[in-house]
Amino acid sequence: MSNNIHDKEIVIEPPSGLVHLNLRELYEFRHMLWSMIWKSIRIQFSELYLKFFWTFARPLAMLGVFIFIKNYSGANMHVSNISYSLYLYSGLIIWFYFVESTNATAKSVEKDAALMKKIYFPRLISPLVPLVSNLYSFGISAIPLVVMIIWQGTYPGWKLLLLPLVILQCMILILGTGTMFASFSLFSKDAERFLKLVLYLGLFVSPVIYSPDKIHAKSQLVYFLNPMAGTLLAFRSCLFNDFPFPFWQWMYSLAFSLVFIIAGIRMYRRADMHFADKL
Amino acid sequence: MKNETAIEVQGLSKKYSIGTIKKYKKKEIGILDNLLLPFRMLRNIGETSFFNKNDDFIWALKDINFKINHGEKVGIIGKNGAGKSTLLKILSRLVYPTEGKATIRGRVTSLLEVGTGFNNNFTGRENVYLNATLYGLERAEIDSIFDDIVEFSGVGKFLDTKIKYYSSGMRMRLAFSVAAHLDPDILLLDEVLAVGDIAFQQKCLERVEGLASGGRTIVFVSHSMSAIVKFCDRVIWLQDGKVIYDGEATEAVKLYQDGPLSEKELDLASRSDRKGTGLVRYTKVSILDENMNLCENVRTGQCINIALDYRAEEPYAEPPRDVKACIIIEDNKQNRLFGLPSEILIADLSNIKSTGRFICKLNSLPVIPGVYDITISLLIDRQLVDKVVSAYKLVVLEDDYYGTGLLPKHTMGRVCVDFDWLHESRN
Repeated sequence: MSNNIHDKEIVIEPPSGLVHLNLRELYEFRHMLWSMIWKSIRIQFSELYLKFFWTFARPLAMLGVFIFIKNYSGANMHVSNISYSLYLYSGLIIWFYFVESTNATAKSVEKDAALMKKIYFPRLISPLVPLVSNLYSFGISAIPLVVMIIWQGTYPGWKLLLLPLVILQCMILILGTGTMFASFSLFSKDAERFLKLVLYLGLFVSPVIYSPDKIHAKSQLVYFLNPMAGTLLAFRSCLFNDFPFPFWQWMYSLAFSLVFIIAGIRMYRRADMHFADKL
Repeated sequence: MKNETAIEVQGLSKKYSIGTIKKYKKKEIGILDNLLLPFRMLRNIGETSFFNKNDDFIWALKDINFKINHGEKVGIIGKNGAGKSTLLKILSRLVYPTEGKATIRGRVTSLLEVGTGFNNNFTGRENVYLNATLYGLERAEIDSIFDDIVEFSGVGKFLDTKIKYYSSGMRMRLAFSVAAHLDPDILLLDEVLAVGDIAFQQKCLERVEGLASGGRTIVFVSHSMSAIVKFCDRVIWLQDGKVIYDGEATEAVKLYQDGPLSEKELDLASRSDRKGTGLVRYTKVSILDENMNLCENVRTGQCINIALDYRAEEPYAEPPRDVKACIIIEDNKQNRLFGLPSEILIADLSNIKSTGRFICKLNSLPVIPGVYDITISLLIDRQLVDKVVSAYKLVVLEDDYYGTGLLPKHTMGRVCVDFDWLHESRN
């Protein structure tokens, strides 16, 4: 029975317009965050007999299909410096991480609604859980990539050190977009559909399957407005030494992500005022 | 300096939107209507907005004030919809208040339900860990209480079975065991004691009793008056989002159970704590409305008649001439608010024979919502013949006395006076 616990004071007040991000509180709840992340990973895998197989199945199947199409149709994907299979597989895994995490963060509030009605925790924990737990599947789906790199002998260079930065930028973009749409979808389910459509089309307007070199030089400016374009190329550049780093494109992606996370978290905090009433 | 106050609530209010009432035609449920629904929705796009200003509101809580010191056990009672759960949700930080402020000092755990976050595909063991982390415990802390939790729950054999194979009783027992082994300074409880079979319920009650006697602060919302009496030494009674009583638990529960809220007539025959000679005794107090019908609810500003039935010990051969009846209204802290002595009016109460009834009419009951004591006395020929202190507890509910939806705050006193403000500006 120590007395210092009495010093902890919680003040409950009506929400004010100027809500700021309480990182200190988030740190205090880190145990809950980790526990929820582990729970989320376990749920993803506990019901599957072929646990890991399904994690690679989708990118590997798509890899097979596109290599088939490319070889038999003679289509030119304009991929230079590295083999098409490495280009495609590396693009697919980070793209799927982006899509699944964005969808999951956007839905996280709805998913944790029952919990939010009964237990207090910093609301930012909800979108953070899928963001981090999906990294696990992302890591597993990277195992075939490692095998392919060794097989083909295309080793990464010093740029591998930049890989965490690129992944972090991708996570920032996911969290920003996810929190933004989580806030929207509290008021209208249309937002969720809109996000799904954008993410679906994203596969075709991002450099996942083909190289942006295929695009006309003048149109490239428009093409790189897509923040994931820079991320995808930068991700590959970190993995494959011969692949040039898209400095300006990635800088744009980074700036875009930072703007989105600030806007997203602000909106999320504002929506938080209404969570319990609206859920 | 250690602050003695565990929970301080100042002017807390919560407004809920109950939505704009939409006009639906009865016909809109056929097959064709379902097929056409997407097109009908288009029509409504312009009408809906995210924060509809035209929504109707209700105040689930209005201007709640109280202080709870460390170590106090407070029960919160009231009818459904009185605002009990809303209050607990605000204190648990699940919803924001609309106005006011609450301060909580100390480590607080709120149990609005047990087994929150239990996952069917996890084993009992995993769920204990998960559930306890949700209440803010760290792994090492859970390790240290894990054996106690398992023993208490009595499901030790099935600890490594997925809980989807548990019976609902086993699940509840495991969930409650986790909850019962949390060790907060302040515990907010919402009707979670009624789980499992009788033997387990008994065990839970003992456990909560143990927590209660361990110097913890407990705020307990319940409909079970026996549990309230057992654990709480203080009761806050909510009605229509307001505190109408805040005080000693047993008295509050007694009031609530056989309370004047349901019974507008109170027999005084059982009252032996009287003063006076006893030549005439009051037998009954009734609260009547303006049409002399028993009153369901008494509200601020309402016209009421307080009827006092009496019986003379021996019928008077010659009626006494000087009869004075008096009613005194006190608040629940025994402060006298006002008196209603018959003698200052030209009321003639004489001509007492054997039985009868005095009626005191208040054109407008001038008190803010709350519980009030009515003390009655009777003087005949300058001699006190009967006096019953706190003969009746009058529960007054809110009403729009001033036509503005507002009433004076209790900090200004509990009396509502008919008043007006004018302004004469001199330029």
